[in-house]
Amino acid sequence: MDIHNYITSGILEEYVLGGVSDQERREVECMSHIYPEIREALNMLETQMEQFARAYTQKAPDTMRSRILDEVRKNNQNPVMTSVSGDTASAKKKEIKVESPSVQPEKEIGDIKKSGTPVWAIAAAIAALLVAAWQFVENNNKAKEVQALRSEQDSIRSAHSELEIQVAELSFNLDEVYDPAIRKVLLNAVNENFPIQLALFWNTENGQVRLDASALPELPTDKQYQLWVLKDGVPVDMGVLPKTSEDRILLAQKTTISGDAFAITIEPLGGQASPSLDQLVVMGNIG
Amino acid sequence: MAPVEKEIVDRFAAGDVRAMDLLYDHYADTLFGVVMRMVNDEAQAQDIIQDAFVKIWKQSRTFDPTKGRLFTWLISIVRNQSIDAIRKNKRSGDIQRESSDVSIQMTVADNKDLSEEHDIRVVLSQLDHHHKELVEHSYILGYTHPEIAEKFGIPLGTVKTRIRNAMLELRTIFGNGHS
Repeated sequence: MDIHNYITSGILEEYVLGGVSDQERREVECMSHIYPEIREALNMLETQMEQFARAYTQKAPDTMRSRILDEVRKNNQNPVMTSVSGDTASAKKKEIKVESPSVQPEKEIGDIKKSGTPVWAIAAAIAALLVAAWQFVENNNKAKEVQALRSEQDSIRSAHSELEIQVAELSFNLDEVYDPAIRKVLLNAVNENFPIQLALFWNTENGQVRLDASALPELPTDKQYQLWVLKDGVPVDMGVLPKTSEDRILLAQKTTISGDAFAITIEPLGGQASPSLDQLVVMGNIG
Repeated sequence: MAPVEKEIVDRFAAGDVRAMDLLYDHYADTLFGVVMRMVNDEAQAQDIIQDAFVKIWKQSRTFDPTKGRLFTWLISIVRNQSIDAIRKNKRSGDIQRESSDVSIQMTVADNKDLSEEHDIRVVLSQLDHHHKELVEHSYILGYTHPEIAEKFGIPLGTVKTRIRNAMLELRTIFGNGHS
């Protein structure tokens, strides 16, 4: 994902000007959520357009304020779940049409006549009630269905943005894998208490080192993992690994463009200038 | 987020209708000016603003500050309300959008309170005339890009490029998005 291309594609301008489709709008909102650079560019555009609109400022008549605010107070906020455009249409009450039964009142039923209410009217009333009851149940079912579909849509949407993030990360990682400057170094266990193995990716051009630290066990609060590179047998500090990180792949604090091996030790919080060799956890030679 | 904006959004969330008083005091004149540019009729503009404010209050819980600025949301509601009103009028024969087709005429601020806006007008007058017209049509008058292309007789791609350039020019004029 080339963020710069996305920002300069003009989509953000169209978004701010209100000229995008619903799908594009969701896309922009999702992208700006993932990439702070996009959020920042969008924010700048929005500020700009607010300033542009300010140039049209015209003093509204003094009487307008109380009139409008009084009118506003006659209304309540809609609840959060209601989608304003969709619901007004579906909320329109369905007309219940009950056709008068074509059956003619039969002369034989004399006792009903005593009450003054013709048979067909009673039948119509009962039919209307039945239809109304059926409509009520039907509407209730529909409302539940809509509710279920909405929450399903919400969870799909959030799963979708999760995936977007993962795809962005993966494509970045994939770029790394295919980069000829990247070398993969396997770090193997040297301490029987830590039977683990982890992979490290070393960019021999810019010296950056990334590693998947998810295999490393959690340490007590006063300890921290520290990464080293061995150059001609001398360990050189590459920085400590963050105690907590949301990212699975960590970028080492320092870079190196040469070395014979990488190693990780357990050190007091903040790290040390030279490694505690008895605390060596994993080590791997650069092949 | 500006403190006022935050205050308004917090009150929205709390269901406090005084959010609308604050909103009125900070945005009504600008929104009124924008609507006046579209309909050019004070009584109608007042009605539009009223309907828009009722709508804003009703929908205020749906506003999500993480997705964008409050003003962007407000102006989109006000603009749609105006376009609806214009469409209704069009049906009755009053074609306002075309009849007000003069290039931007910044209303002269005769009120001292508006001096800050006056400064913006001066700054904006630096904007290339054609650019101003395009951004105005798109942002204020609610034209779609294909509509602009048709009206000015230029290809759609050119409209998009020019609008983008106009935005870049605006950015230069306003500096780096400061307020």
